[in-house]
Amino acid sequence: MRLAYYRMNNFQPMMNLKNAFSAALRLANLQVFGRKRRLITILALAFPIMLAVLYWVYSPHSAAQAYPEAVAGIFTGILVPFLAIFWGSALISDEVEGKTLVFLWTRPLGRIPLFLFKFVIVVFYLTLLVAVSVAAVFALMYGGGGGRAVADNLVIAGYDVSALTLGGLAYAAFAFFLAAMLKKPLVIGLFYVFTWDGFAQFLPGYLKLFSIRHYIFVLSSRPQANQPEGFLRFLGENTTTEAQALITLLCVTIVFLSLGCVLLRNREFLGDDPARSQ
Amino acid sequence: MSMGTPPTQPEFSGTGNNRTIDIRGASKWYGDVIGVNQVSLGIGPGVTGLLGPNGAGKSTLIKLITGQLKPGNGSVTVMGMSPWKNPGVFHHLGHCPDSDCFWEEMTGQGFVSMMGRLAGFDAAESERRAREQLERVSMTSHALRAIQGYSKGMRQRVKLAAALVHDPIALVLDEPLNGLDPVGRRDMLELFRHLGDEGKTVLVSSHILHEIESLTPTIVLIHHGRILAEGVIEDIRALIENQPLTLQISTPDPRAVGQSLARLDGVYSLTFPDNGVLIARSANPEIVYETLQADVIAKRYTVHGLCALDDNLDAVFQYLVKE
Repeated sequence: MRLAYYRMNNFQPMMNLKNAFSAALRLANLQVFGRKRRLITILALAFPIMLAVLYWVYSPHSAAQAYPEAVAGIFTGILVPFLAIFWGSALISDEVEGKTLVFLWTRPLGRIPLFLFKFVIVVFYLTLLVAVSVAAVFALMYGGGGGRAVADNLVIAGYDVSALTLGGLAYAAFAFFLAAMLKKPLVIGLFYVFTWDGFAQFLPGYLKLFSIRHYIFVLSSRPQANQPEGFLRFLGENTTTEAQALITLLCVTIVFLSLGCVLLRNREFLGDDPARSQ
Repeated sequence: MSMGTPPTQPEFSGTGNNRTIDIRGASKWYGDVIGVNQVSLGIGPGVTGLLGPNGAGKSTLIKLITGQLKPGNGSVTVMGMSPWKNPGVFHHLGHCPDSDCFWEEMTGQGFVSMMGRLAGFDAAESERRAREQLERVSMTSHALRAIQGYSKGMRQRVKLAAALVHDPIALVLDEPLNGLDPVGRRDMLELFRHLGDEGKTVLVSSHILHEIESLTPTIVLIHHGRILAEGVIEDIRALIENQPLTLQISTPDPRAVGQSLARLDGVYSLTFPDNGVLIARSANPEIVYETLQADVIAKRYTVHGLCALDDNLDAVFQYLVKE
């Protein structure tokens, strides 16, 4: 009878999401600010600020014109994809490689809420740190024109941070999916962002639509591609609207996150089982 | 049981329909490599030892029980429910993995308390339970140190505290005695016995036979992914009763004693490895015991010691593996 009672209740009391969030926060903090990654995080975000300082010192009056290219080249082209793939893949692969996954998978909380909370927290940190860095670069590069120039163009920085946040979400979700599917997601993720994702921008036609970076460019303050003349104009022709870019980035995020969750839910933990290593 | 009062603790036993852990015809293959093959097993309250050499399939079996792996065939249930994709099971199931890996920058207290939170307790309750369990495994004085500075034995204790933090009904412990010093081993064995006495179902895996032998008489022997035997050690020994038993007799005059034994039916061999020691192999040890007793009185032999070398788990295991 008691067994029947427990079967009926199926041992599924209400999960305490606050607890899941608390645990995810601790793990995400270790992942982003832990001993191994702290230095990489600081260097990655200080790098554009240092460049902006140099620009500000040596060419204060032309810095404002270079700002959009700096965002496109450094933040959209390197930093956001790198950090999003780096942290997004680590959401799962840190636990797999560190063999700590077993502690998370043998608890009543379940796998998905914890990893989704980790994802949200890591993307929040990414946004926060990129926003600080973009704001510092913006202030330095527009600072040469005085406080008025900074205030008048503040909306540009807002656009950039929003576009980079959405791009970061999509890249991190892609990395999350890779990590749920592959043993070495970081290599594949970085290969994608630093080969196809960049290269596709220079391809004619619709091929660039298959890159995340294209949609970030559409949303950001980067000079739109219809500015170049001749062949460059043909290459850079952009027919994607901001609304389409926004929807696409959100869809990419949702699809990859969902696929990642499905894979994670069905994933077996092989660990270092002797039978496995034979 | 009163119908009006919901139970706080379910009652399970190792037999019948109320086994805490019930495995029926479960198999798990890793491609062409066998993990476990057609395993059927029931484990109830008390301490049960899961024994087998490295690579025997102990960890695979434990991973099936703790829902980390999905059985290819057959079924695995814990308290009547499949643990695969069913995290609710872990409200009442504690697991201490064999892996020695942690979030190294966390403190012992932080780690155990986080495990408490993942089991559904609030911050204050998790902290309280973490302190309690760390004290239980004698880790209070190291609780606030980062795990990266812990010895292997300390790590084992912290893992055990984490497995106990939510007071589970069933505990699955994968090689929990690895790396412990003799005192730690004794303390842990005592703790496992105590948990078994409390009515918890405790499954302890080990490849060291005497450890388990000193902990519990109820054992499961596994080898090459198959269950060789399960039950109480004496019962398993009885299964091979017709096999010769090796007796070591310590006597200052082994040759004379050997002469007496050589006349007996069922004594297959006599060897004299050292001065003062005689090894006899007999299918009928009772006759050897009686003869020795009679000769000690009648012929005034001196016998300092008599012991059955293979009347232990190691011998049983060796025999079953050879079979």
